[in-house]
Amino acid sequence: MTHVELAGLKKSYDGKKNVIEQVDLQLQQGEFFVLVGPSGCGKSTILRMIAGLEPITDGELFVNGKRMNDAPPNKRDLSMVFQNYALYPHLNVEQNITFGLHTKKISREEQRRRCLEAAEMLGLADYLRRKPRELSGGQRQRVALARAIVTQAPLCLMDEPLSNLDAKLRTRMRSEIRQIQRKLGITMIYVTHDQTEAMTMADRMMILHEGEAMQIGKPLNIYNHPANTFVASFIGSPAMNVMEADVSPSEIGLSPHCTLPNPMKGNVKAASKNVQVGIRPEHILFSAPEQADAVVEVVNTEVLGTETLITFILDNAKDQWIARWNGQWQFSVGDRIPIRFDLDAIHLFSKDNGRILWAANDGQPNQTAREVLR
Amino acid sequence: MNDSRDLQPVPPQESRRPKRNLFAFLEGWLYLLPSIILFGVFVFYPMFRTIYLSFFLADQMGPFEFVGLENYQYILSSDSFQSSVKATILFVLYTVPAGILLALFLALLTNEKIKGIGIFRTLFSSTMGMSVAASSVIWMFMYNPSIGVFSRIAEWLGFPAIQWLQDPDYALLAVSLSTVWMNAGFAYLIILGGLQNIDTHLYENAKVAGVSYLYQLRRITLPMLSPTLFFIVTVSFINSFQTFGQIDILTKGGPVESTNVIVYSIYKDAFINNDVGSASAQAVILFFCVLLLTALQFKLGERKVHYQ
Ligand SMILES: Nc1ncnc2c1ncn2[C@@H]1O[C@H](COP(=O)(O)OP(=O)(O)O)[C@@H](O)[C@H]1O
Ligand SMILES: [Mg+2]
Repeated sequence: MTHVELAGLKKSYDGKKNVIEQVDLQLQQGEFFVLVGPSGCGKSTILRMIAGLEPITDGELFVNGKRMNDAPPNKRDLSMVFQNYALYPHLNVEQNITFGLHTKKISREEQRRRCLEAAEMLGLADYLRRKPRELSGGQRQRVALARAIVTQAPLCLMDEPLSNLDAKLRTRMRSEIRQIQRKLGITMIYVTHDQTEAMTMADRMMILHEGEAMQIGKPLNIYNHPANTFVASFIGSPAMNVMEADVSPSEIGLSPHCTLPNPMKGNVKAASKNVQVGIRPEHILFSAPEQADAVVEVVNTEVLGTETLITFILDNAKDQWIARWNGQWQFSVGDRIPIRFDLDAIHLFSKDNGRILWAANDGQPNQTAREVLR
Repeated sequence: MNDSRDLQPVPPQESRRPKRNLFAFLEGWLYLLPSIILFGVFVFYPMFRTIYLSFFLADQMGPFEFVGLENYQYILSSDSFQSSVKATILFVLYTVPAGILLALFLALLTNEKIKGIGIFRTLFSSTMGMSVAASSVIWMFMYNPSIGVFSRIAEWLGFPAIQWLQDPDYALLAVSLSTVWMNAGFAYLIILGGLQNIDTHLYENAKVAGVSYLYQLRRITLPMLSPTLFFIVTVSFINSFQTFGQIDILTKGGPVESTNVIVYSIYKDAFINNDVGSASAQAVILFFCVLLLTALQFKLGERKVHYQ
């Protein structure tokens, strides 16, 4: 069932330039939806329009099929978690969690019961009498979560709730939030600039760039089939290698010494266009010298323990490629190593508008994806 | 390759040498010196001189006879000083709460993002930029029984004209009213600053929760504003106890000593009656009263103020 629908949503702060251009979106009941994009792209603006904290310039917002453009925030039956948590420093944890519940005609006992339940769920039971300043960052974040939970609103909005936490805690809260959302069955709209968060948490996600939706879909589909170069380089870390190439109907020339067969040869119209080649770091492989597509010069290696990131150049020193190999590889700068491109994982993008022209693994998840899905 | 050679134990930290301590101590005092000198010359010396003089019979040339606590005995038993104390307390009660409430009200009104709000903010804070002398003269004209706006309004409404500044029943009230007006600008600006410092997300969360305006005011605005309010209350009290200019211009302590607050009585004793000993003793009494009150405020306020 559709829970939230945005139809042609637009926003302009100054009446001239649109900060949000035409966003169309349908969220299902119980879905975990992530809005992801670089900072300043308009994620918070969209979230605040849904919450009713920011007027909608154009387009329509429906919640449960009812038009909600002009409803005040408290009539939209939602809860919200802010990036800085927005806890009241003078109220203790319990008062913070139950703040505003009296407006929903909930009795004192019921308020207290819900508060205890949420505190129990989030491991806050021992801190109910404390003030926010006596809590650690992670605990404050939990208080903010608990405050959203006790409202029992069917829709929850979160604006970068984890970005003030350290990396370890972030990883843990990620899975906690996801588990709570599943347990309560609420619909979640979650904003983040961190593509890892988006990839790991989302049922579906939307990638936003300068107020425009770039792609909407399941994380793995987006990872495997980016719709354009922006999505290709935004999703995935390290980013996909996207390089200019000389294309002829039969070949793609990455450099004078490195040419690949042109996989688009059947499609003559597309084949003759200006093309950029995209390939993910994990699809550049170490190769036996006789099978190598190229011998490349190492510029940098980062050994991460279980895997190694190798930065290399073909001929043009400006175009740095990154490969990701399992295990610990130790090269020195200037080493020349033979590599091979996995031709089944190559993407070709139009140089004019960045849109995808051709991808080898069209339609089906490739090897890596199937392994993850199993 | 043998990387384990590279793993070296962390050397233990060297213990600190205590020799530097004396030098650091002197260096600290050196940095303090300029402010110590300034405070010494302009605050501490006059203060101790005043306390010293309060034990003497003295005129403007200096002390001439040690009298111990006689100045104090004389003051505390004099009717004139008692009426000064009464006038001062009334003046403080008239001006401080009214002034702060007015400033708070105006600040709440103008703490919205509306077009042209800057005009109102400038207007409401403008009295801060006016000298006491200039504002007093304006109010003097307004209180004038024949040409002043107050008597015109009274006349128009059919009430008898009141001699605002000449009637002992109304003089203190009139001076207080003008003082509230003069002080409102400063308090307004400070409170507005405090309001704008409150994180807007706190209000947005309240909006999503759907609480009423009054609840918001009581549970968010006032507690979050409490450090600012505490500051402005303290400063206003001290300010109010020290009011001089408008009294000198509007009433000169009259009529019938009804506006003869302690500060004005100190001034009269010292420079008109030439009794510096008595003036000093009054100054010392006032000083300790204000000190006590401020200390009391800190003691009580501490519990109610939420610093972030
Ligand atoms: N209150 C505002 N007034 C004017 N411009 C704003 C306001 N809030 C955000 N913007 C602009 O809208 C754009 C999107 O902002 P925002 O939604 O906060 O981005 P994000 O949350 O993705 O970082 C930015 O260019 C920002 O400068
Ligand atoms: Mg944001």
